[in-house]
Amino acid sequence: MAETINIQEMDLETAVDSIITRFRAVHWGKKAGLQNGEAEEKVITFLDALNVNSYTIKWITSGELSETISRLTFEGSELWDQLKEIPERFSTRIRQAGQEELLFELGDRLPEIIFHQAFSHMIDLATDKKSTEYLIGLAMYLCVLTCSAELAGEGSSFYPMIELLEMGNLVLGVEGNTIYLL
Amino acid sequence: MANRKKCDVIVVGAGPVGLVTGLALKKKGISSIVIEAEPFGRERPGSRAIYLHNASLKHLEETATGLGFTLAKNGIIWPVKRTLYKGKEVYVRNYGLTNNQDPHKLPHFTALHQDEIEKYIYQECVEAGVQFSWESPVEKIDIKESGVILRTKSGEEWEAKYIIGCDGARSVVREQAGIKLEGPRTNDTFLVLDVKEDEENPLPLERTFHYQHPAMGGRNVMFVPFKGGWRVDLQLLETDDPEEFSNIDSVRKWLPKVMDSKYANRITWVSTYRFHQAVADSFTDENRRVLLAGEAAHLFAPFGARGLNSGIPDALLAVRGIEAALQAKTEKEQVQAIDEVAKERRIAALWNRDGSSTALHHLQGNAPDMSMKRELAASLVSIIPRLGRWLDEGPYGPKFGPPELTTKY
Repeated sequence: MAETINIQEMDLETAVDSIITRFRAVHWGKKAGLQNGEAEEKVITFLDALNVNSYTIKWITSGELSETISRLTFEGSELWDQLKEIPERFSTRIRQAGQEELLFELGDRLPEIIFHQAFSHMIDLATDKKSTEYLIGLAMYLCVLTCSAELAGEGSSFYPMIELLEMGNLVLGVEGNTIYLL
Repeated sequence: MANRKKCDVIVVGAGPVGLVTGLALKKKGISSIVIEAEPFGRERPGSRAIYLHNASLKHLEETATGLGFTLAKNGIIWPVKRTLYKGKEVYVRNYGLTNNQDPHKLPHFTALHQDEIEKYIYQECVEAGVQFSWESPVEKIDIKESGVILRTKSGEEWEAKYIIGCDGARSVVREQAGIKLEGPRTNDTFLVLDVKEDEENPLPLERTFHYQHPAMGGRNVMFVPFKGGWRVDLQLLETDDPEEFSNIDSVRKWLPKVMDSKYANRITWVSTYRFHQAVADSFTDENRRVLLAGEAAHLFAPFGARGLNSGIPDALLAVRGIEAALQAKTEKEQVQAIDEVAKERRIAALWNRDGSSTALHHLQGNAPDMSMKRELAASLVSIIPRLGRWLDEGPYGPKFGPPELTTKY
């Protein structure tokens, strides 16, 4: 599990801004379809931090993107079982630290910032509207969760995700315990 | 030959839309008759339309001074709305108590049984002197360039310049004008029931929506209070047999899982629907002597309460259009007056249909993408509270219409 940091000692706004800056610089899906062992390692590190043990990592090609998205489901996903509870935990820690204002600002500003930036790349990656919408939603989700994690003092467990994105690959989603990488 | 009676406008149907139409015509001094197939005081099952938006209350108040306020004070306004996802509260808003007895300000809405809505509008009609012909089912309508002749099954004949069809989903006016109702039905089946409130020990007034109620095998359940009762909506799964849920013994078994068990003995109506989402291909005929209003013109799923709340402006604009046509100096102006209102109300109906379709899509049980989106939103609610609001508002669709409309719905 991530090292616990005393979030009152950090300059939180700077830390979050730094993560937003990193997300803004991501060229989403730049290396989509190019299998990368290092990317897989990042995913495994992330899953270990969440204590997720049941998973299979599967690479897909850009051509398989649309069909794979149509199959994604949270049902039977150990990863989702962990992820879905995280926002509540983060929110509690952030409120306990008196950083609620930052959280509101984050929820208010961030999705739109990422929407525009991710759209410019995802529109080339996806071949249909539904897939584009999904990918943009995914980008917003990853960014919001990572920034919330940083505010809650658990940011380091999400750094592997940013690093994977910076490599140009994507964690697409889950179909049960299968995790798709692009 | 039957003794043919004449007036400017025939209104067919004395449900709430027909009553409003008759009242508006009378207030404008336009001679009319409201013809209804069934006898006065006929009983119809269920609470049906139970929600009047502020916009509708304003329309009714403008039509007959005091009517909007009468409906407001005889309904209820729930101060709290709450939404839960798989048992987890994702949104709650408390508006505080509204004084629905305020004689100067109409509330945001009022909720009361359709029979009560009709009762108050009918009282205004009687005071205004609206003429009715009850128990007069329509046999035939001749629609010509110059006007219409209506014959009832008992042989009575009415001649008028215009006819407004407010006669519901199976509209004879629409059918005889050769106008078609077009649109799909919902995939999902909804079970709707009314329970009578226990006035000695009532439930707190809250509109509550449960996505995937944990006690109902993941089915969506909604509770909407109205004066004297509750409407419960249960969204069945694709594989459910509606009969298994809707027979009275079944309802008495499952209802206590979601409501205090005393309500199992207070059920007054149960019905199942696959809602139509249909709009007439035209709101007027080729001679521009017919106008359609309410469910004669459109059918929507009830999400967002768009049925009666768009039926009222249908009625009022039909009357306005006919008034303009009667005052027109040329035939061209007459036709234009009818065309304009027919066109505007059709735009409204299409928008309302889209709105309730948006709501339906939001609720769709078997759509994996929407299912995932709701799951994600519910998970993120504590970080992004706006997503809780999206979950709360989703089942009702968008609120504001396109710029072509002169009314809200």
